Amino acid sequence: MIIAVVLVIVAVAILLVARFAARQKTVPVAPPRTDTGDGERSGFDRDSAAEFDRLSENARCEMLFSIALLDDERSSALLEHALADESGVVSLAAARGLVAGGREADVSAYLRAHPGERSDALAAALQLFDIDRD
Amino acid sequence: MRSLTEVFAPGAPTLPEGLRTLVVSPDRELEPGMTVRASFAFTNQGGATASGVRVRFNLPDGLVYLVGSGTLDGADLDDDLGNSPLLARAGAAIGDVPPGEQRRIEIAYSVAGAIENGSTVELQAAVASFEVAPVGSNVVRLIARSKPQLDNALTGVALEVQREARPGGEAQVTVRIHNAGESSAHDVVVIAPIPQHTVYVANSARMNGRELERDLGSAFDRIHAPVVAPTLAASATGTLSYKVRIDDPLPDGTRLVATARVASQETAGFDLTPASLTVSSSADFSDDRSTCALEPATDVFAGSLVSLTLVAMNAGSAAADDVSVTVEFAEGLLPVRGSLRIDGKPLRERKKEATAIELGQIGARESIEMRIDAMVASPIADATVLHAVATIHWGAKRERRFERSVTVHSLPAFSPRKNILSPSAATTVAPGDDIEATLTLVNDGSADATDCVVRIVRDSGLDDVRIYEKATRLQQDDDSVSLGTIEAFGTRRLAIRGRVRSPHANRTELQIAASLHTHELGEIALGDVRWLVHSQPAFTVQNSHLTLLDDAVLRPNGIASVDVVMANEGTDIAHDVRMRLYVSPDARLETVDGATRDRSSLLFGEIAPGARAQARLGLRLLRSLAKAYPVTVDGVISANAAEPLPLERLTIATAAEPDFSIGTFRSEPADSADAGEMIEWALHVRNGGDGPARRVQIHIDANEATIYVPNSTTVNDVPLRDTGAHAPFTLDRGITLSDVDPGVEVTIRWRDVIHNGLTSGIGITRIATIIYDGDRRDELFSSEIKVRATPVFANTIPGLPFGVDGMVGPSFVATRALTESRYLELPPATPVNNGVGDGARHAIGASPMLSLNGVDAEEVQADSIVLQLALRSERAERTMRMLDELDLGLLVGHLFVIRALLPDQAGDAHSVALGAARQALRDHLDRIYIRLRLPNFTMTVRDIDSASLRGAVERALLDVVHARGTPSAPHDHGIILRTVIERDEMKAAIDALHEAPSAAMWSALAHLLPNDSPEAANYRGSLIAALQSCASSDASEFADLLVTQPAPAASAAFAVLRARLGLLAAS
Repeated sequence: MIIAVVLVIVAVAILLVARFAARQKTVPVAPPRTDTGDGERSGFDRDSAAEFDRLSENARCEMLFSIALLDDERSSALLEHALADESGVVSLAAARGLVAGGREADVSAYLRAHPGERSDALAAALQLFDIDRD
Repeated sequence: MRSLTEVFAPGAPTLPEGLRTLVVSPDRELEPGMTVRASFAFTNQGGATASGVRVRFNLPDGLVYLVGSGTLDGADLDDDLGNSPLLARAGAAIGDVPPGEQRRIEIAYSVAGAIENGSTVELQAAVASFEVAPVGSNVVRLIARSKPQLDNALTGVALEVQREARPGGEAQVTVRIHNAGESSAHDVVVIAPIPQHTVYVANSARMNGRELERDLGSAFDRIHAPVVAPTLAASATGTLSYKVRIDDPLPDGTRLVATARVASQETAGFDLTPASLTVSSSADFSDDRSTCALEPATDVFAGSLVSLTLVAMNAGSAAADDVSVTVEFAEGLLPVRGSLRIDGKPLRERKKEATAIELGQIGARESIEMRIDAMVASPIADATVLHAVATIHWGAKRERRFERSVTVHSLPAFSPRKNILSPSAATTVAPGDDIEATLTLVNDGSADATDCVVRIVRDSGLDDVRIYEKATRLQQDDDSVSLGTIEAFGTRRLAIRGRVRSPHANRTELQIAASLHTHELGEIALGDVRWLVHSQPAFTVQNSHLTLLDDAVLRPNGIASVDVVMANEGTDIAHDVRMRLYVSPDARLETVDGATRDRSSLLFGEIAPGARAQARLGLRLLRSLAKAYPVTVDGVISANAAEPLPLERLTIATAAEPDFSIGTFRSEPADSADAGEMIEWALHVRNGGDGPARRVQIHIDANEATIYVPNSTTVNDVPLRDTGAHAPFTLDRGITLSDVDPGVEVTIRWRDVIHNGLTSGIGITRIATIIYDGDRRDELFSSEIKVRATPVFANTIPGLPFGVDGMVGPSFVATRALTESRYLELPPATPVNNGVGDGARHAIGASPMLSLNGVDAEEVQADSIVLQLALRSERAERTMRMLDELDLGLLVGHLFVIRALLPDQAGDAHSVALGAARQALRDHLDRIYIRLRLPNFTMTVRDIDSASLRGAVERALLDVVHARGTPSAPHDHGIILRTVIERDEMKAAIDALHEAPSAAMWSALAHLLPNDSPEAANYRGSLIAALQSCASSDASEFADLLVTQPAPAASAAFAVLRARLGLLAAS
């Protein structure tokens, strides 16, 4: 009798775990990157992208800060690449760099092309950066 | 009946014996050579004469008529030519024989030399006459006794050859058997063994030319004692012959001996004298089986291995002794040491190969193969014929010489490994650089290369390409150089030098390719060399500069023309060339000619190398400033792929001089006044210059004709306290004004009373001396007032209930106003916003705009600065959102409040410096905002304090310090936040910047926060206090405190301020 009760409890536990495990909240994920081929033309190629992706989150941000004011194709390509970084912070740093370089349109186009929570958060943060604008 | 002629015919029967009168001596046996005498007698027993008698004897074989022996009755019968008529066919006619007569006839015979033993000789005589038929005598039969004789001189053996007895040749053995006896020899046996060293030639045995073996029924050499002739007649000779083949090989001088033994039934065997023959033989290497060959015979190249194979075949019949071979190679053939093989077996290796190779003995029909390798020497000319001579030596000075030759193919070769074109120095070059490549030509072939021509293909980006060999420049013909002949294994090194064309595009490759053309090999590619051109635009301060067009001093509101010259001294096109201008806040970029303006940047587009771009700027000096503050223009050139180049700062001297030379000194009344009458003086001075006056002393001498009305002095209607009983302007230092900006008017009013004791007509003139900036002195003269005086004799004063010993004087109860035109219209020295005052009042007072607490411009003291932050609706909304998101638990959050509430206007002028400071704050705080979201973030000094931020803040604070007037409020709705700050307070904050850099800088910025409401002022004070508490910390400590230290008081004060702001925004 006791054994039967224990078996019933275990079965119920398994069912509950299975049910809730399937309803875990989905985490916003970075949209897939699209490679337009411009990278090769600007000198920022797949190897450069892979090398950038291997950096730590802190290092990626610092790199984006350091190149944000550079007005060259390679830096622009890296910023575009970092827009889709898996880290939202890195993505925000990239977006800020692009905006600072006068490429708001590119950022907006990216956000439109990748709607979702992540893009909404990114857009909200960019608006905060721009509080001075009348 | 036979006639006499017919008798004795061969084969005819004998006649019947009719007469037995024939007597023969000897009568029984006869031997060869014996004389046989026959006597025949007959008698005519008849009767009649026998006429025509004829007598005839037979002549049997083996007997020969003995000439002259015929007799008739003793008388010789004449022979007829040696023939006896007795033996004639018709017989001898002896005439008639009468009857009874007897006749005797004799005849002698000689026995023939050869008559067979035992043969019978029958003698018979016959007689006939005409009348009598032939009558025969008795037949006498004689037995011949004879024997053969084989052993005689004619019997012998001979051994003969046709020419010369040589091994392998044929010889004939001939045994001649001669029967020298009288009778035949029977069963003649010849034992003739095959001579040693010979072999019987089958079926060659002949007996008298007739094949013998057929009769023998067997091979001749297999029968020991063959009967070669059953019968050998007397005097007959039989010849037995057979052929033998001489053994081959056979040593020279071998003697062949032919022996024979002859026997017959009648003759016992006897040996013949042997016959002999000496064989002549020799070794021989002359036939074609002795060969000599060079392999390979064709397609022989320099360096090839050539094998000389000599086959010494002794085709002779004798062994060759002491055979040796000598090999001689031509000069171009080098014997390979240790390669010698005899019959495939190597010989012992020796340091020096013997020229003669001993082969020892080579037997007949034997051969030896000798092989030796030789290497074709290199270098060697093409089509060279190389000879190799091999000589076989044997015996005594016998030799055979072989000479072979091969034709060598030889070509020059230029292998890619050695014939290379390589750079002599770095492959990264810049335009204008010299490049050099080394072309190494190594003819590692075996033949000379002739008619060598080096051709060079070069990029058009290379100039002045020259080719040197050692230090000599070679004569070029359209990038080709003739080198003539390059010897085999010779090396030529050429240096190809050139210069990179300048300018040249960056990251392009330059290439020089070389090829070699030779007569033998045609075109040979020698590779190429590539240089990567690192070219970049470059700007230097020597040739790129900012130049003031004229030396005139820039005065406020004046425009200075500045030429911007940018010279691309680099080697590549400079793209997106721009110059960022940093013009000091006192000036404004008004015009740009020659470039596109983008805010504070000038866009020049592309500048080719060596080209210049020029633009002319018009800078307007905006506001008054002291002489010590010249306008500075900094320019930073930037271009793609070029280093930013800060240009030398252009300092434009400014002349900002105060000028008080123009003013008015008026009085009321203006022209004349009665003695005792009050005069109201108004001295209007204005800084009509373009610079502020730091210190202005206005001194007006006291005038004995007037009496100063105490405490009547006002400056711009502000009462000024007297100094004792004296008016303040009469002191030596006068009225001292400080910081009198251009355009500022100063009106000093006071009142005097004309001395009563003056007589009429006296003129009163006042002189105002204005001393400013230490050395400037201006004087203003008032118009002369003529004193009017009239005699007065009454001493009663109307209205007084008593008499007064005096005169009714002027009443000073109420001052009289001057004319409405209180101010003298002077030309403006600086742009003046005439609407500021009104606008400010409108904004603060009756404006529909929102304000925390209206700061009345009229309440603002002269030493106060008014700053303003106008938040329009959208900006206000974003600011509120940002403030809501701040985590103000730590001090760092309040930095964002400083940024959000930083004023954007100081005084009545738009502050560029404040905008720049705002931008710098944004740059830093945006990064802090992002970094704060990173794990393990540590605040560093550079996050909160950098040179750019510091410079921007300092300029902004200086701008604020110099701000004048009240900011105008915007016409649209929004939140207006204002800050009123004492100038001294601001100056103290600036001074503190240099003492405690980081905290003080942020504290100074906090001073700019709004304070126009209690909530705002409370927060401002709390934040300043919190930041000043960190003043003793160095920069790094301050950075740590920002993210570790809470600021509870400031946070609480901000909560109240935020609520207030929320209410305002909602309304």
